[in-house]
Amino acid sequence: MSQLSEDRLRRPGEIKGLEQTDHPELRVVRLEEEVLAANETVAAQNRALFRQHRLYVMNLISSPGAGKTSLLVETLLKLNNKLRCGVIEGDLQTAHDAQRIAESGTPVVQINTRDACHLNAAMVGEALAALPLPELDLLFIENVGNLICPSAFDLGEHEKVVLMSITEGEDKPVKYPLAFHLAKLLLLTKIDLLPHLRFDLDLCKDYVRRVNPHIEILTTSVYDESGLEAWLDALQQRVEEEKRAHMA
Amino acid sequence: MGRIARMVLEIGQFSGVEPQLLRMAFEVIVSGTVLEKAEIEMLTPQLLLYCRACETEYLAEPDDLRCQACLGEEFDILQGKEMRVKSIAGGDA
Repeated sequence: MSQLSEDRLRRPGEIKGLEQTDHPELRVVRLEEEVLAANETVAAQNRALFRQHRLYVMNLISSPGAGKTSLLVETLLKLNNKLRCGVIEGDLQTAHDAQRIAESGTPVVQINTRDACHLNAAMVGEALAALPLPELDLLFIENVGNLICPSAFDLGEHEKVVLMSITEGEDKPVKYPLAFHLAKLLLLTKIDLLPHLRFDLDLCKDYVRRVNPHIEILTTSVYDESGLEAWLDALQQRVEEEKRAHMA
Repeated sequence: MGRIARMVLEIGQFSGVEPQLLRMAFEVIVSGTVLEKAEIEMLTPQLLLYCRACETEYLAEPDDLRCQACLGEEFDILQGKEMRVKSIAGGDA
């Protein structure tokens, strides 16, 4: 743990630094403006739209290759229209993922971010216009494969779900703490590979709890289908709660 | 304010932003704007938490947020997630 250092520890309201300017000719304007204020505004608009349509929204975050799209394809097949789903796919290039999703008959919009490593609220807002929102219960937003930047951008979602395949090593959660800290649910994917790997599941769970003690953890595999029932139950439960919350 | 001479940013240790990289990006992006000659100061508040069990404040590193006194699971982040423009200073020149 770090030493308490007066230099780095600042309380709200206690403004130091350049505001105490030794140049009297300079006028200081206090802004206290969030750097991501513009994104927050659009995220709030998205959120209002989701509420209007009683639509539950998940923002899926993981490294590239953790299995977000495979999980979604399997999920949509298994749900078989028990929940009406929509998908927004974020990738730098190609519509490959959207094509995989579209094969299940699910409404899908592909966002190509080109060189951007994350989705932002405005990109999602545009994509929403192309989805039949009144006809949906659940929207998955598959973020660009990246465990860093997507954490900083609120898309208006109800929750962030982080996926991590067990081939990535137990300590991913403490190497990329913010993503795991912000998520409500962690899916440890490709769990069918466990017998072939030196992966310590308990150690991994211990690492996760260091940054997020209350996170819900499910182990899943789209190959042997383990954990998928629990995942589908979790989806069903969230959609029902969302509908109930706006009944009154 | 015709010209901005200084800008104070607050970038918390748990904001997900690396101050050094932000500074590099800033230098590139301000070219040709009113911020072109601006000095940038970055305050980097440490990650400060509150342990509800011990009822104390403590500092932590982002890879382990728990109170090391009790390893308690009930904590609140008080400081460290900031990503904010605190102020700008300028003259009319």
